[in-house]
Amino acid sequence: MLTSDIVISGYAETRNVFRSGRSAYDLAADVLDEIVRKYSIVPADIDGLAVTAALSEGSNPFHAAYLSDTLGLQLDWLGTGTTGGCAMLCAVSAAASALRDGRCKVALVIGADAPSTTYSSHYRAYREEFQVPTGLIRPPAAFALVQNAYEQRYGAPDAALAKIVVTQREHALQNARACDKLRKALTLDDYLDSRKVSDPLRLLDSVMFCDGANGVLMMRAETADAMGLPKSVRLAGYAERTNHNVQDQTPDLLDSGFKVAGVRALAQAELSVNQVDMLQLYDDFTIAVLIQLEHMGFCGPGEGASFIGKTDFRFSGDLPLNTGGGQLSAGQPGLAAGGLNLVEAVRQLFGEGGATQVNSPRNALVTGIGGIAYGRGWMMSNALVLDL
Amino acid sequence: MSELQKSRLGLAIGQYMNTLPFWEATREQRLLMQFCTQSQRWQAYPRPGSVYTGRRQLEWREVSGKGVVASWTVDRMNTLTAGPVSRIHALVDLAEGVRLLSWLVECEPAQLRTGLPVRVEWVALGEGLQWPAFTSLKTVINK
Repeated sequence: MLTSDIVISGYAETRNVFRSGRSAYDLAADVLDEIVRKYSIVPADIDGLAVTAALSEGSNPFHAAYLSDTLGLQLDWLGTGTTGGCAMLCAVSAAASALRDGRCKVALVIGADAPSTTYSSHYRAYREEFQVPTGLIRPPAAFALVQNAYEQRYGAPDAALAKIVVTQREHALQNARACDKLRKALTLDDYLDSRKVSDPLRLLDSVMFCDGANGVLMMRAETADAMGLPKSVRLAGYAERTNHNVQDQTPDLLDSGFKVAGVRALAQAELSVNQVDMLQLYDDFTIAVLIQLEHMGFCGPGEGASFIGKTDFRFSGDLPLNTGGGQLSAGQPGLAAGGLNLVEAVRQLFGEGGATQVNSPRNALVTGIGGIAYGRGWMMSNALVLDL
Repeated sequence: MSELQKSRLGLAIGQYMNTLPFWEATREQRLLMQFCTQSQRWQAYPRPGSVYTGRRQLEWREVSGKGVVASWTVDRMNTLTAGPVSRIHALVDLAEGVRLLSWLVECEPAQLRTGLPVRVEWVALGEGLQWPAFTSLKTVINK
């Protein structure tokens, strides 16, 4: 098992704030400050850094270099990720490789972004020529095409999507780091009555941009012991799939790389789906959560709605889901969003989950979704399994 | 730089690769797609190389303009398209086996379904350029 001796021994997270007026650099400094303070280390202990790209710094092709300089870190390894919602887990994977190859001994992986204050991303590529002229430029419309394809084939899963929204909102109400704007109780009817922003997708199916940062501290298990760090979780499995079935030019809109990446990550961790203690799934849209459950084998194709209907996803339930509220109810801190659910998984496995602590979890499945693709669901799917 | 690339329509024409044949053909309401001559297969969106072979043996060839709806949505928050009549965004699978992102015209949302037959309906963009939108075959017959 290649990743078996790589651990996460620390985490930090800012509050998620709508229009904080701050920058990714300023927010990232909060993460370093918390890591250094909480784990009694000094910056010189950190010799590796991976950072996600940031929507708020989109025009800066040297973002990772500037961020590392700003934080005052002398590094023997620096990684960066431009894979959107997958970037945080990609960075964790890259840091694991760097640690295993001896490039560095202690790696900090940071996601920091402030898109609700500054949005300066330009996608270019084919997008400006063949997507922008159609007017379909916002993520909700792109995911609505997927949700509609699901509805046409299997019927509207509205009750199931409502349950995801309400369950995660209950979690966010108990999460002091969740965005203030979102910390309001919701009922199933609130969801069903919310307006459709891009049929059949509702406002409450979608995330809201906010500003925030998060990070994890990674090393080999022996390094964590030598540094006297009291708690660690192990990277038990990781897999990713980008441009799934790309040669199929009329692909099934309800296909995704999770059919490969989710299954592989669980197999590496030697877990079957009914042995998973906790789900921290990438939840930019509710339909993405439902589809991931199907594609990773928690239920069969078209069975997502009935599976969700009969499963208790509360932190106290049989399969806890996004126990911090997820992006849907804590807010989406831009391209730091992939770290939101990662940090929540680490927090839970450390037994520091507070009011929504899961009862004695032994493992967690964390996922990422990256990039809206032309004519298919999304570009990239990745899955990480953590265990104790 | 060609006249097309200096277009003031705000379209990023031909910047990421040479797509001028596609755009020039739209003036005559001819829909061109990329054809990989080695694998004998079509591809869309336009790419600089073949998605099947990695080679650059690609030609622009005219397609039928006929296809079926793969999915659709009405984006009610998009200020660009949410005028008096909101635009119906759609993914259309052409008979040649490629999927296009475009929109539907003269279609009632209530009548839409996956697999609905459609054909290209050109929409003027200005400066003689046109965009391939789609309309249901039934609507055309009823005209």
